[in-house]
Order: sequence, then C-alpha cells, then structure tokens
Amino acid sequence: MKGFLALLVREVAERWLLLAGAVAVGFFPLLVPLLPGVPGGSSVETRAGIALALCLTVNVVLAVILGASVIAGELAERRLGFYFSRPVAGWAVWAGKLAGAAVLSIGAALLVLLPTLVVDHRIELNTPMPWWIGSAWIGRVPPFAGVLVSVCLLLLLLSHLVSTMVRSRSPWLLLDLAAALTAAALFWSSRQTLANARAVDALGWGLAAFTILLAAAAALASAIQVTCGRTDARRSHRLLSLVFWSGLGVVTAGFAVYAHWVVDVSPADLQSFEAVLAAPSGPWVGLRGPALRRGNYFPSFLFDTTSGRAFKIGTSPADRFWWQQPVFSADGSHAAWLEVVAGGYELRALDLSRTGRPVASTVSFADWSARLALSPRGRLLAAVQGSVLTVDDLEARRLVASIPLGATDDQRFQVRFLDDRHLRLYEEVSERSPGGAPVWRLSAFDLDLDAGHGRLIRTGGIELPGGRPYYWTIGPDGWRLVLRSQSGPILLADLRTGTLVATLPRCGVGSLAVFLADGRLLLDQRSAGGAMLCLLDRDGAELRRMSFPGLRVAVGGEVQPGRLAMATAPQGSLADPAGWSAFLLDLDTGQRVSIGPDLLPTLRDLTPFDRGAASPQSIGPRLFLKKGGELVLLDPATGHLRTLLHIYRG
Amino acid sequence: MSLIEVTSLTVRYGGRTALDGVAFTVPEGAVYALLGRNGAGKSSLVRCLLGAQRPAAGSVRLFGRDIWRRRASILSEVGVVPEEPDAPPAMTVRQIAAFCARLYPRWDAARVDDRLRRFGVPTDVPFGRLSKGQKGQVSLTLALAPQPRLVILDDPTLGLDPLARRAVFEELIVDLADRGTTVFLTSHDLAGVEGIADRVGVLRDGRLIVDEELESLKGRFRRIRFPAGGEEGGLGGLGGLAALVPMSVARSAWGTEAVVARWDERTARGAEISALTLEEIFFAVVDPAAGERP
Repeated sequence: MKGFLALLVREVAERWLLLAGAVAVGFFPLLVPLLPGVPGGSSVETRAGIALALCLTVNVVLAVILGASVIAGELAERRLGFYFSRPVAGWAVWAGKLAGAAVLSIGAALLVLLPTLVVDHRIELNTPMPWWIGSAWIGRVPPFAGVLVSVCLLLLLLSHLVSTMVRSRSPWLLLDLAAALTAAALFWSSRQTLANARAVDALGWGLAAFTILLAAAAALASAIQVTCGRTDARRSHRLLSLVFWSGLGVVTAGFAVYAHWVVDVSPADLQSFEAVLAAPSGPWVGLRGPALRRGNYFPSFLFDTTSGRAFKIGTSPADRFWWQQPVFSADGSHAAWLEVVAGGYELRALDLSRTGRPVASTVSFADWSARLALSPRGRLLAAVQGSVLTVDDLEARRLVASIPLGATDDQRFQVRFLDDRHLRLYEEVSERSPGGAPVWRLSAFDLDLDAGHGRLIRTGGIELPGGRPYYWTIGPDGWRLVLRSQSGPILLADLRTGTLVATLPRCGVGSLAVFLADGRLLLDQRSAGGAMLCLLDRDGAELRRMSFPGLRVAVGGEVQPGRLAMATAPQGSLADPAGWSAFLLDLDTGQRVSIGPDLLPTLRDLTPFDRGAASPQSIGPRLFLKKGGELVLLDPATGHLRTLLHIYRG
Repeated sequence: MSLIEVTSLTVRYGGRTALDGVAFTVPEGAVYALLGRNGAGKSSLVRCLLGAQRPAAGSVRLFGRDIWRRRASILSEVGVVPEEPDAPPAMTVRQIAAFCARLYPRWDAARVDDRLRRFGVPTDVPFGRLSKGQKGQVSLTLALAPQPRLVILDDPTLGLDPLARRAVFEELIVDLADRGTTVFLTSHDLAGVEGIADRVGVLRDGRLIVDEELESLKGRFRRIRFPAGGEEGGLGGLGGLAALVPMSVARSAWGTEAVVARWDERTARGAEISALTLEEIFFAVVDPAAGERP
C-alpha cells in the first residue's frame, strides 16, 4: 500500500501542471458568451453547456494520453526498472501509476467546471441532454461522476493496451490485429442480432456487461503484464496479449452466446401474450409477447395450434409501440410479415402448408408501417408504403403492379383483396374545406389486375364534417362502414352510395361497434354501472340489449355465427384471467353457456382492427387464456378446452 | 551465509540463450565482480538478481528467499545502481530522494545530502538534465541511502570519466569499510574492480567460465618472461610451451614454478615470473587470442 500511494502521489505531483491547465481551460466558458457572433439565449446555459463539453473532452483526451504513456511509455523507454529495483510490489506499480493517471484525468475534468460553478453557482442545462448530463445533474452528481470515472478507466486501460502493443514492435502485434478483428466481427454480429431483434433492454444489458468485462479483461491483462512481465517489454507484451485476448475471447463468446440465448426463444418462453392473432381460417396463429428474462424483447411467432410447430418472425422496431402483425391469406395457407434487415425491412412470406423457408418479396421496404394484404390463396401480396401501391406475385417472384397514389398531408390507406384478381384500396384523408372547416373523407378504389391498364378506379366514398374519427371499420361486404366520430355518435355509412345509413343508439360511454359475420352490428358500451351489449340489424336498428350490471366484460369474437365468446368478472384485470368466467353468448336468444372459470378470450373488446381473426371461420374466437399461463382452444361442440401452449407467467 | 545463491540459471530470449546454467554464490560481506564482454549475459543476470526478469530455468535467492516471488520485500535490503540511470527525468534529485525515502524501512537522509554535496550534484535540477556522471552518482547515492545489506551495481562506471569512475569505487570502499556491505557488481572497469573485488566471475556466451577468489585466480595466472634464445632446448618437453613464439598465452598443467625450474635447468638462463593484472587475466580467459598482442 505504501508503494501504491507513493506511486500515485508521484504521478500526480509530476503532472500537476495538467490540473492547473484544466482550471485555465475552465475560464473559457466564461468568455464565450461575451464573444461577438455567439448565439443569444441564456448565458448561464451557454456557459454550462460549454463547460460540460470541455469537462468531458478533457477527461477523454487526458485518459487516452495518460493511458498510453504512464506505463507503456516508461516500459518502452526502459524506465520502468526504476520502480522494479525498489521495494515496490508489481501490483503497486501498476495500480499506482494508473490510479495517478485516473486522478489527473478526472480531477482535471472536474476542475474545468470550477470557474463556471463559482460564477453561476450551478451548472444547469434546459436543453434536452443525455440523462447523465441532464438539467439536474448537479443534484445527481453520482451518475455524472460515475460516467466520468467509467469513461476514464475504460479509456485509460484500452489506451494502455494499444500503446503497449504498438510500442513493443514485436511480431505479436500481428496476432493482436488478427484477434482484434475477430473479436470485433463477433461482437458486431452479436450486437446486430440483438439490435435487429429490437431487444433493446437485452442489448443494453449485454453492452453494459460487455463493457465492464472488457475493462476487467484489460485491467487483469495489464496487471499481469506489469506484475509478471515487469521490465521485459516483449514478455510484457506477450503476457498482455495472452491474457487480454483470452479474456476478451471469453467475453465476446459469452456475448455471442447471450445474444443467441436472447433471441432463441419459443412460444413457451413468453411471459404473457401481448397479441394473439389467428388466421382467418386454418390452425395458424400469430403470437407476440415479452419473453422470460429478456427485458423488452417481444418475439413474434407463427404457431400451428394443431402440430405445435412454431416459426419465429420479425418483431417491431424499438421505437414503435405497436406490433406490425403478420397478414394471412383468407384460406389460412400463407402468411406474410416484415422482417428487420440491415438497412431497412424485408417482407417475407411463408407457405404455411409446407415446411420450407420463407420467401422474400421483390419489393423493398423502407417503411415499417406499410399496409399489407395477401390474396385469398396467398399468391399475391399488396402493399402500400409511402404513397405507392405495389402488388407482388410471390410465387413467380415478379412485380405485378406498382401504382403511385399521390400524396396528401394526412393520408392513410387500407388495402384488402376482394378475390384473387381484384383488390380494394381505402384512402382516408383529413383536411380542411375551403371554408376552413375540418372534413374527413374515405374513398374506395378498386384495381382489376386483369384489366391491364393498371389504374385504380374510384368506386365509392364518403365525406363527413369533423376531424378523423376515433376509429372506423369496414364490414364484411366491403362497403358498409361503422365509425365513431370525434363528436361522439357512432355512425353507420355506406361507401358505395356515399350516404349515412344510421346514427347508432348510445346506451353508455366508451362505445365500440363492430360488424358481425352476417353484417349485423354489435355495440359494446361501458359505463360505471357495468357493461351493455346491443345487437343491431344491418341498418342499425336495435334488436336486443344484454346488460351485465356490476361486471367487467371482455368480449371476444364469434365462435359460431351469432355465438359470442365472452368473459365477465366482478373485478379483474384484462392482463390476468384469474377471476374471470368465460361463456358463450347466443346473441339471438341471450342464452349463456358457461365455458369455465379463470378464462379470458384472447380477442378483446371487439377489437376492430382485423375482423378476419374474429370471424367464425377463424379459431381466433375460440382461443382463451387460462389462469397459470395456458393458451387453450375451445371446441364449441363439446365445450372441451385443449391446452395449446403453457407459457411462463411473470 | 550466502547472500546470493544462483542455481542453474538459464535465460532465453526467443531462440537465443542469454544465460546457460549459471550457478554461483556470494557470501555475506564479499565483493563479487562479474566480468564479461558485451552480450555475455551480465545484464540479464543482474535483472534476474533484481527479480525483474523471470528465468527460463533455475533460481535466484537473495538472503535465502526467492527473488522472483519475494522481490518487493527482499529489495528493501538491497541498493541498486542500474547500468543506465532510469529515474524519472522530470523529477529533481530532491524529489527522487523523497520518493525513494517513502519506500524503504531505513533511509539515511543525512548521508544522501552529504554524498550529493560531496559529488557536487545540484538537488533542484531535473534528473534528465544532469550529466551522465552526475546521474550515476545520484544512482549510487540512492542505492546506499537505505543502508542495504547488499548493493547490486550493473556497470556503474559505464561512460564515466576516470575521475568519476574513481569516485564511484571510493564511495563503495568507504561504505564497505563502514558497514561491511555485500557488493555484487558488473563492470568493464577491470582496474577499478581489481581494487575492491575479492571474488570474480567471468561470463562468456552465457556460461560462467570463472568463479573464483581473486587472489586464487591471480595465483593461477602468471607471466613468465624467458630470456631470448634457447627456446628449443629450454621448452622442449613442457607440453605446448615449446611452440610459444614470440609471446602468447598457454595453459600448462606443470605450474609456473615447475616450468621455470625446468627452463633454468636446461638453459641455465634465469626466467622471470611476474603477476598478471585482472585485465590481463580477463583477456586470457575470455579471448586467448588477445594475449598474443606484442
């Protein structure tokens, strides 16, 4: 310890001018706001910003320079023997010199702040900054100081490593280069694995652990270099390289294994289901949810409820909170989804009836939020991205159509196939009328792929006053439209004629309305006193009211035409099936048939976004979550529940 | 008691062997001089003695302890003068002395000041600005300051002028006289070494070819001056001596007295025996051809 302290003090004493220089540099922020041409604004903020920037710069620059010289420089200049011919332990030489360099580097960085702190009594930034510099950093010194110390130590060690290797000029330098390239390639590959999977938490943890272990490997290598290599530069380099690259090899391999472990998940690794989306027909289901012990990694799967086969598919970008769900063909034989690839996204399609690999479309995708639709038998893929509609023949791998749609300021599209050769595009526009009043317009355009002219023909539309509705959904016939306007009423409209058919009755707040498979409408209305379902005919006339006083209601889809899967609970969370009782509700008679306790339908609240999954042909309405983390499938004929998947629960 | 025990010491640099099975001991109170040409392995041996170099084989023990494993504690009793003064060039002599003083259990600050004053070394000048001689004097001062039981000097007079060289050896002699310090030194200044060493080792190509008391060594090596003429008859039958013309170095199992007696007996002309200097012995041992100089 005596040797360590002596070395530390000596390093600092020898370079004390750096500290004095840092104080001098610290006066620079005080002068800058006085200079002509410097943008206005708060002088305090300008000074604080410059002082913090200088603080970090000084820290980084000194860490690099001192790291490269305090040990490696003296070793190369054969002056390390001065310490090794004294009663100083090798570890004390290593630690004392590096600690001295760290004290100088961090001390100088903090001293840069001193003049600004004395003048302004604070260093505060209102401009959004990284959390560790944030406006209240002075009140949170530990994180800021922690960053300074971490950056300094890491740079000191890495700089020492590189300097030792370069200065030794031994053949081991070639090995160092080869090892560095190999480690960098493996690291980048692992990093991309996590980044492409949008496993942001796991990536953050992995990078943090990698950085800490990298620093630990560098520290261990340099300590062994000095304590065992002592004054022999070549032996020092050899030991340094052996220990560091071995350590980094283990760390990098560990990172690769970790990255692989994070993304190598099956549906059984899900902690919960964020989304369960069944194909319009057939046994396949799209699943998405957070994976166990993997932070905010939300893997998505195509899952065959018959065989248990699962296929992992792309997930959504980290900056998007919604799921870009896969699209299915109406016959359930094909699925398509966007996959994150380097530089953008790639659309992939899979023939679910075979076990082959997915095929990529010929269309490149730069926009994650592209609207997609598969033709009924899955051969054609229609996509709207930006303001272009493309139709891709996945089997022949050729582009069938590419149609510019024009652009407006606020434009949204939906696309659906009417049959294998016809598709319909819905264009939603919100704008202001010449009088300045907001109007919302929904237009329908049809495309005949056999017509050869490649033009969209407008076949219907409606214009309504007011802004964009809270939601709108098209009925099974492709013309009827139900929407909830911002002013409150739920409207039934006909796109073909461009007329309002009806204003639907309100019997509560927070209403939702959806089309049933036969074109009738169901209103789900909630109030403080409970829930109420209203069955309406195709023209919006009320047929039946079913109330659920004092209960929370979870409404699924139609298990069979006119039979609705539901669950109720006196209290309860939609995230947990515990306490819910599931039943089938006959909409025509109001009769209820119990399915069982602690069950929740996976389709929730008459979600209007994809009615195919809620149709009686789909298994979607028959899927329930069971307490304990099971995904079960109801056989409506027998009432039997078959467990499809048992997931982990938080 | 042996303060230094070197056993089968081997040092390799890649494929080159710098020291090959070197073994010797240095008893307490002795002055051991290790001689050898440049590249013979002296500095490697010193680095091993200081625990700065790990041998490929063999061991070095100082005070009965392994120097590689116990370097720091052992060196608290060892003063070191390196071949190239390696103190931090930016530090003044005073700062260096203060730094070193913290590291040793004993530190004779008064003698440090006294020696530096006697040497005429300015204490407030950065070490890097001192002359080579002054740097050597500072190194010696620092080496003797902790009152070590053992002083290791790696060619301490290298590059020094004759006066500075003499000052170094005089200082050592004073210290030896005062405290009986054990000394291990390497040097090319054979005249200086001869004045203080009582045991000598000679390294050649990494092998220790001589390890002997200086007096014994000088007893084995003598100069015999034969009067001119009569070489044929006088040296005949004395082994390789018959071929000595006009001056050379030779080995003989006869011993100098026997050779001279035989010469005298055969030629009745007296041969003259005289002692060799250490330098002459060194030449004879390390490079026999050098002894043929006129």
